[in-house]
Amino acid sequence: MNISLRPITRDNFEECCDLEITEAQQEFVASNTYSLAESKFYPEFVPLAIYDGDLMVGFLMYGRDDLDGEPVWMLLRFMIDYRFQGKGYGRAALQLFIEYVREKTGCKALYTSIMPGNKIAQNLYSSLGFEETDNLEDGELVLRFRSRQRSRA
Amino acid sequence: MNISLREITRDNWRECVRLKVADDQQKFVASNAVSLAQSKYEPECVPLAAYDGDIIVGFVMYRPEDYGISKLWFIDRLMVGTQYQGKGYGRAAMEALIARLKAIPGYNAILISFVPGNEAAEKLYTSLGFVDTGEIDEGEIVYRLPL
Repeated sequence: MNISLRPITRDNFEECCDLEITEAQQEFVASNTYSLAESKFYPEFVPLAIYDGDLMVGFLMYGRDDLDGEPVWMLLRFMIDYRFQGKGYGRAALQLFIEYVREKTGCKALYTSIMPGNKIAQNLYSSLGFEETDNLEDGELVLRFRSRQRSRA
Repeated sequence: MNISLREITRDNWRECVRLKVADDQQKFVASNAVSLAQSKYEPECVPLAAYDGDIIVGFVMYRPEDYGISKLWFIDRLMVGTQYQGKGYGRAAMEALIARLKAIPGYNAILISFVPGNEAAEKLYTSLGFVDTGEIDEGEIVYRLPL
């Protein structure tokens, strides 16, 4: 496995629109087409394709958000195409994204949110150091990433 | 009816995405979400919302193509939301778009294409003055309106 995160461009946006999750998962995350359309109108949202070598296997989108007056990174979308699920791509991509966002300046914290009932996502996030907060946003459970090495809690 | 073509922004893009054609028409035209995503990565594409007063009833997208000796417009998308069909909005939106493109000097023609079997599109474009070019582009019949 050779995971990388790459920008979406003229050359790969259609491939990205074609990535799909299972029908049962469609209540948990918006389609990539919707996310790419959204990113046109919210240029602060950054969509990235998840590749294994030259094969596009998934998609994520993050942005800057404001939480209680503090600027934070928010992982807004995260999906692995159903044909590539169950191979460890989600974990590998998320680890890479955490490293990627740590090297970016501007925000100290990383948040994401999940639909209640999305057990696979909940287990994955929790195994990588995300903790549940008391916040609910649009009916979604807000999770905060706490670095194990840098934890001061 | 008071048709206007307006820019799509942060304030109306969701409404635009919610606008859908009937199930049996989905083979004829891409969804508005696909068109908006395309317009981000192919910025020469210009998406516009068709309004009747303050209600969004349809969507169009066009792009210029410069062949050196001739400059053409392509109308890539035209759709009217299923609940607004049969009221003349498609024609009104096309007339407004043609008027807008005619006002820009230097272009020779407007091209539009449709999936074979889309009789409503064929009738509408013919009545607006488009003629069959005899060309097929990616399986679609290409019609042309000289400017």
